[in-house]
Amino acid sequence: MSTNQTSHHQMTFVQKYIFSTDHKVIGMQYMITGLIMAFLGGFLAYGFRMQLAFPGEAIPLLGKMTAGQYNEFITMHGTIMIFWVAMPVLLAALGNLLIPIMIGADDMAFPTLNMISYWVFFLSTVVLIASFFVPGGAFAGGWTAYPPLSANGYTAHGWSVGLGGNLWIIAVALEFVAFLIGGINFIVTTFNMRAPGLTWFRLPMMVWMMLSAVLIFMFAVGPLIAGAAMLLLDRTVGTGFYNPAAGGDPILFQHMFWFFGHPEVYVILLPTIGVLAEVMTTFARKPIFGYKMIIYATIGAGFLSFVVWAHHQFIAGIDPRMATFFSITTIMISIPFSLIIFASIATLWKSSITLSTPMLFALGFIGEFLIGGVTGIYLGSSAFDIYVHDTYFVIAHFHYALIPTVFFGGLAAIYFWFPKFIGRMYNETLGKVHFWLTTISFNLVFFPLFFSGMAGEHRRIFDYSMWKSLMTPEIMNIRIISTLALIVLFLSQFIFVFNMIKSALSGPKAEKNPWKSNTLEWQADSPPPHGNFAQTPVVHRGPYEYSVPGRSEDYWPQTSAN
Amino acid sequence: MGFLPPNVSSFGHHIDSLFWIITIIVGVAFIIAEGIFLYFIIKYRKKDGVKAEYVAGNVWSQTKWVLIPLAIVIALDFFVDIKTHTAWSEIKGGLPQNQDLKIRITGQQFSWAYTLPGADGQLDTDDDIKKTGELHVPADTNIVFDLEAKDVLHSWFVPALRLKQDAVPGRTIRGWFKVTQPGSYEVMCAEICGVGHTIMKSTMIAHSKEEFAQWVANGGSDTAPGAGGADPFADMAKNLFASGAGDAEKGKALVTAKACMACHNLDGSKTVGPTYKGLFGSKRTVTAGGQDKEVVADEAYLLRSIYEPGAEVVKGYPPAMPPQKGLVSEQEAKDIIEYLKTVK
Ligand code: HEC
Ligand SMILES: [Cu+2]
Repeated sequence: MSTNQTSHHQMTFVQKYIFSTDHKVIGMQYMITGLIMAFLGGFLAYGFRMQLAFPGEAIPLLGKMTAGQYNEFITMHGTIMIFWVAMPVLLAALGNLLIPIMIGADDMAFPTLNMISYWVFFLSTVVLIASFFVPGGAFAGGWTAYPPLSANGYTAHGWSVGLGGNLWIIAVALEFVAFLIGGINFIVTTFNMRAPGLTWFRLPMMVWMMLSAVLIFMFAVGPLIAGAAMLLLDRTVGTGFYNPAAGGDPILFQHMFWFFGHPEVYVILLPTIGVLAEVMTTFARKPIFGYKMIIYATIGAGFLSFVVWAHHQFIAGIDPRMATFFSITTIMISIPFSLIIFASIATLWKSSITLSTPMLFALGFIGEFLIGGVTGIYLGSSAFDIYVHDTYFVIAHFHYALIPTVFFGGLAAIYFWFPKFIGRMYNETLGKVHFWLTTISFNLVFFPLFFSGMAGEHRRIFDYSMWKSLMTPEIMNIRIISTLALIVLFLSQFIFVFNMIKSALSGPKAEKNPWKSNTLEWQADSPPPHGNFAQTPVVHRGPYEYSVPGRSEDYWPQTSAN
Repeated sequence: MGFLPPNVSSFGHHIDSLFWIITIIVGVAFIIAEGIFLYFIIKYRKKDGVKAEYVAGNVWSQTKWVLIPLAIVIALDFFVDIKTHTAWSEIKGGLPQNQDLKIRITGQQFSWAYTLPGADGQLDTDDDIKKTGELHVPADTNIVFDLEAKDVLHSWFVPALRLKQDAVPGRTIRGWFKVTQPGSYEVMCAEICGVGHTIMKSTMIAHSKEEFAQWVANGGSDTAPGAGGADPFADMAKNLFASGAGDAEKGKALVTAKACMACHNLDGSKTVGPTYKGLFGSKRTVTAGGQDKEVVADEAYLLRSIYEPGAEVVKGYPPAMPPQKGLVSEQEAKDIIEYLKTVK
């Protein structure tokens, strides 16, 4: 596993930063692509929220919106945020950056495959963005792409068999190819390339969670790829998998979609739980509470996640007798995650907390995710779901689950490992301003939506003017507050961008281990060279030995012999 | 909670009480969890010379602090499940014994169509009453519906009934409800169904039993047949256009704003509804009361098409247009017609 350092000196710029096989560069490429897509997804949200708050008025930068465009915007917003932000940032970027270095390896098991993974992903991004510019516009049938609407070739600007929809399917499929390739790498690397002494129960939580996430992804994705292929065939060659007139069934797609779609939530959530463990132990100077308990809970949740999918379909026309089964499994899957959240809170007990920016985002995740979690109980109750399904209540709920996971978790990770991978410190004051603006505006965007959902505000409506019960002054105020807060949320992210760029160029140089952390990546240089470690590290203990009694230091790196 | 609309169905109280049960349970749990969480953050801030305590949480004396609350949460969750099961069984689990009225609901881009039995009480007979955009039902009656979809998924949603059910092409989904209060309630489509999803609206009008019986006897009209006399739309046209022409520019904006363009176009091709191209002044073949006839598309005709599209349905098209009464004012209709005159 030692690297040949000399051969790296002759690398050209292209080899080093574009077609690189270094896991860190690839991780960074995923990260930057994902973050750019996040701005695109956020901008789309700005567009449709403006239309809702000020229906029919010209929107700054966009002009007047049509109903078709509105559907296009909401569809692409969902697609981008899940598939082109959450997945690349949390899974691909963090996995690539962290797995090899946290297990003491010099790179991924298959570096070339890893490079191919990114470039397939890049291609998928290009295809997706191109779909905005084809005749008819991008796909507009909702990010869940339910047939028959999606099978009919419906796009934003008309009824022609839309190229936009075909490109959408192709882009999603390419993206999954990328993650499958990447996933294989994650698994093989974790199994085979751990440093001497790094047993399974000495692995950092981050690695455990990545491995679990990737395994769940790989088991779940098959049916969706099959489902998408059938959808593409229905659209292009006229098969009738989802067409009842030809003997097909539209609900089949829903099952395939959600068989993947629900586990997907955990594919995104688990990496954030990994981040949480690393950040919290470091800034609370304490071992994680119940390390093994959390790992077993995660494995249990992984299995359970395959038998909850139909809770998205309570009122879709499935056999009503199935509802109680899926209600029970859904409520059961809240158990391991409650355990993890409780254990995280317990980790804080008698700790010694420093509220640095990554810690703030990690704690913010816990505080906000709890709201997403408890509101899930309302939706898991099949009977109550009859009323709130497909309303803004659902929108509020899953944004309270996903934004803490993707943005709070992702940002905690970015701030935490920035000194390691960039080699410079970020600006702490700007980081804190970013945290508070993000947190406050995020709550103002989404909390009010629980109330409009309770009032019966249904989703994916372009203009509520014709709905008397949904045009009350209270609900209209909710729309305006939510939209204005969204603009603040969006603009606040530029503080982050500024901080990152400025600090990367001229921040103070970071030492090897600025947070006095235990795990292996902190033993490498900042930034680590190609190959990561000068010598393969040897591991002597678990990752969270903080404040061990009898030691003068309050941390104990995994590599210290004593 | 002020935001829940008043419930008018016999089973809606289950949903409303579930809301309160869940809110109380998770509310208390949530406040305790957040409270402890914030308390720890404040209490255990780093202090000079104070080290964190080494607590790994791997023995029962420690894990119990997590596992016991967890057990309580699980118990409460199952309590919610039991309540859920009761409510679900009544609403979706089966049909009531007495089924007093059977109706059919059909979702189509972009309107809800309703078929009710006529005086003979049977569906699929000659005297069926068909309405697009308006559902008339009697109060205090167990109503069983067959829900169908013609083209894509739709979802029949009546917030006041606390009822929602997807409509799926190729399937007939049976369900039921009972309205407890006469009145008029909004019906939505809760599943994205295309560019006109927004305008897929209809109204449920619940009559008292007697009023409803009268309505059926009149063949689906509030007034007895033949009571009206002269054509109201001819009068309306005369009054409206007496003061001069409308504003075609405004009309152009209106057909987009009111989402007419979801079903109509300007290029002469067939979509959900007929094209606007060359419409004004042309000869139309329409079906009215089961009979075909030819009419000229004048101002009165267009007004009727907008306000009572079901009265004269253009041949070759489904009666899919939602009536615009209450949605398009007379002045707006005038501007739209002025604009239609310009689309050649
Ligand atoms: C849900 C689809 C839909 C929407 C929305 C819709 N229409 Fe229609 N419209 C139809 C259909 C279908 C017909 C033909 C059947 C009929 O006559 O009822 C029609 C017929 C008409 C006609 C008669 C056309 C002819 O060829 O004789 C006029 C005029 C008309 N619509 C105007 C409007 C206006 C104005 C709006 C917007 C305020 C509107 N429509 C919105 C579906 C729609
Ligand atoms: Cu619909």
